[in-house]
Amino acid sequence: MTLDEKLKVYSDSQTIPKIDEECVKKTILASKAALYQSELESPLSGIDFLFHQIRYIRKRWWIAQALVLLALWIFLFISGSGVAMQRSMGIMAPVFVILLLPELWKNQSNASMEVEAASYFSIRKIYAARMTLFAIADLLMLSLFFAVSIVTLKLTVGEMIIQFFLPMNVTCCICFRNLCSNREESGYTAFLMSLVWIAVWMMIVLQERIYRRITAPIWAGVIILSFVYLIYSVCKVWKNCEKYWEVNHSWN
Amino acid sequence: MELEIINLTKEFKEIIAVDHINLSMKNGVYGLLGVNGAGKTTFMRMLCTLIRPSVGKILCEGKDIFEMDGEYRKILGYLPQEFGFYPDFTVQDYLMYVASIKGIRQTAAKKRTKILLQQVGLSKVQNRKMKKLSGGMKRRVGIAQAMLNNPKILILDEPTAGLDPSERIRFRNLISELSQDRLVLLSTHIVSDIEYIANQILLMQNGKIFHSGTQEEILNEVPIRVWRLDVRKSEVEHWQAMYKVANLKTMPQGAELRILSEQCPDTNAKEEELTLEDVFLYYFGEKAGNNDDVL
Amino acid sequence: MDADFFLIQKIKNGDDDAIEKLIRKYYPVIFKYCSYHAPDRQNAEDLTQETFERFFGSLPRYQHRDKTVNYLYVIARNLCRDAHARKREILLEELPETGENPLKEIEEKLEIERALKKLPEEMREVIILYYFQNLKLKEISKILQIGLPLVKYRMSKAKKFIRTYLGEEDEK
Repeated sequence: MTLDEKLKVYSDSQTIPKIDEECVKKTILASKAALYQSELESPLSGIDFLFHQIRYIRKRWWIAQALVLLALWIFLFISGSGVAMQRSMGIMAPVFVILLLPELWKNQSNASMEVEAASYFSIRKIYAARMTLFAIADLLMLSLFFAVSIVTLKLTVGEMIIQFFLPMNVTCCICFRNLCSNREESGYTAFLMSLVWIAVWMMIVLQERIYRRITAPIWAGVIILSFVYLIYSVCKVWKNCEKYWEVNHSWN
Repeated sequence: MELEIINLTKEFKEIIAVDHINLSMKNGVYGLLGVNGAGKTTFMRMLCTLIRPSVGKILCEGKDIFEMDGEYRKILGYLPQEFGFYPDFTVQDYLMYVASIKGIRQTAAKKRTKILLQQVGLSKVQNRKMKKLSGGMKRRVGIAQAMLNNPKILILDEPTAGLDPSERIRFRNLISELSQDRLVLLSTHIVSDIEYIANQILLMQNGKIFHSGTQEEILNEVPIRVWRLDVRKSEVEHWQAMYKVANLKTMPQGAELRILSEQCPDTNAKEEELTLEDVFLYYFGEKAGNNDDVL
Repeated sequence: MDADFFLIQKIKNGDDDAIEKLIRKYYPVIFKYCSYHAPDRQNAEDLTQETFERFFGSLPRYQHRDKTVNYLYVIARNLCRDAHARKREILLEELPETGENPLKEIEEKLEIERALKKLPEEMREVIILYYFQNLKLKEISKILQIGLPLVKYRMSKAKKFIRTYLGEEDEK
């Protein structure tokens, strides 16, 4: 026999030592305890936390947003371009954003901020997580909408940017700017201001003489400005959300 | 666990809510007594890093809690006076949500939730919607949430406000149980909440902690004594004008007064033992909330 | 990605039964492995238990990159090395009945055991993992955290040693 064979024979002759069921049970219990203890000691990672937050966003608002885009697409498909197009996009784009309001204001409207602020991840990260998730979901929806619209509706990119993206952006600015305010009714203020904006936008867009005056560079400038302001507002939310109690909300 | 509070001050526009507090706290139960508007909530919010002090520091084991940030909140549990929850949350959902923002992983979160619900006596309602719970039950969920991360520092702001007497007693026992190996700070204007469970009592008024000590120390240092005196009903007003009357008990033959006074007010007066409620009245000029609190 | 990946995910999501499943799956091989390094049964059981405890204790940080069992082996190996056990007596189990010349087989077995006892530790480890735990060379290399060539080198040296030892025995 070669050595290999000898060793194999030897190994085969070794039966697995008898296992004591009590020991296995003890091991299982001890392992569960070790896992539990170690889980208590090591907090959730940022990514895990982000994914957890998906559970706590009410999906109905995402569905509503998708429906808004769908409705818009259907309307555009039926009515074609022109004034109807401008009007519908100019209204639906802000509505798309307004549907974010309930989820963004959830902490404030449900008075859950104190407990959240005193927790490990704290308000800042909760807001960041929520805004990130919304940004991702909305970007996906919008990209799909844009792509489909440009192909099927024969709208130009320029038209989409001016008629949809711009009013949407401005509405976002309004929402986020209000989100950093410490006032109690900021959610309602955001909503009302958005409605006012829709009215203003409609006036600009539907009045031929005003609309014609606005040239491409002006549009470009306004769009860039709105974008910059949006980024600024989001950063301000990030910085300010922990200052909610700097205004004395309670008497004690 | 040691908390060192140095010169802590908070100014809002024109109000000084917290005025240069200096305090050193270790494990045990601290009862923060004061009337509404004393600055208790602002003080506690600072301890929970919700508000930044205008002046001063809070050190946990020598480190500034605002610099520690998440690491400090890892060992912190907070029950605010009012706490809300997202609609449609069941008790279980709520606790799992708070566990997630406290950074507790799933397995541990499920286990902690189960243990805590048992401890606060709410295992049977874990699938009930939060909005359907009674006030007392909500508070108990609040305590459970504060305890999820097994905090070394537990801060409870008026935890028994709005609870009926039996709930309050239950709560008091629960706090007592939970205070082993922890620093517990509990604010209230109801003396009986902390009367038997606090190791140290802190008296707060106008943003300052003007007196602190064990219950005995506080009782001994008050420069008044308590007297029981039976008077005729017609005399009650007279006595009330002259002395601080801690309690008035109407009897068939007259009234029984509980008077706070350094000197004996009347030859018929009998000295009684001073209680914390009397001390509250003496310092704050108004009656403490008690078990029959209606306001 | 093996079957253990989903099991690990279940465990991380709080499934208690999955913990039991994993342990029952690998307890036998780890116990067998620890038996080669422990002086007695009790020790082997303790080492096995501690292996699993350590594994689950580090689970929150564990990224499932390789076979779970290899990771268990690494832990077990470290524990066995650190253990006080100096006597490396391999547990004798009941010999199967073969009918043909059982005495010769017993003698051969004892020879191999003696040879193994004399082997330097790092070489014995390779033999145990390859021949007794039936692991592949690649897996051994991952568990011992050494390069594949080194595994092969140790293996050949070990076999040479045993061959020489058995040769000597034959001559005696």
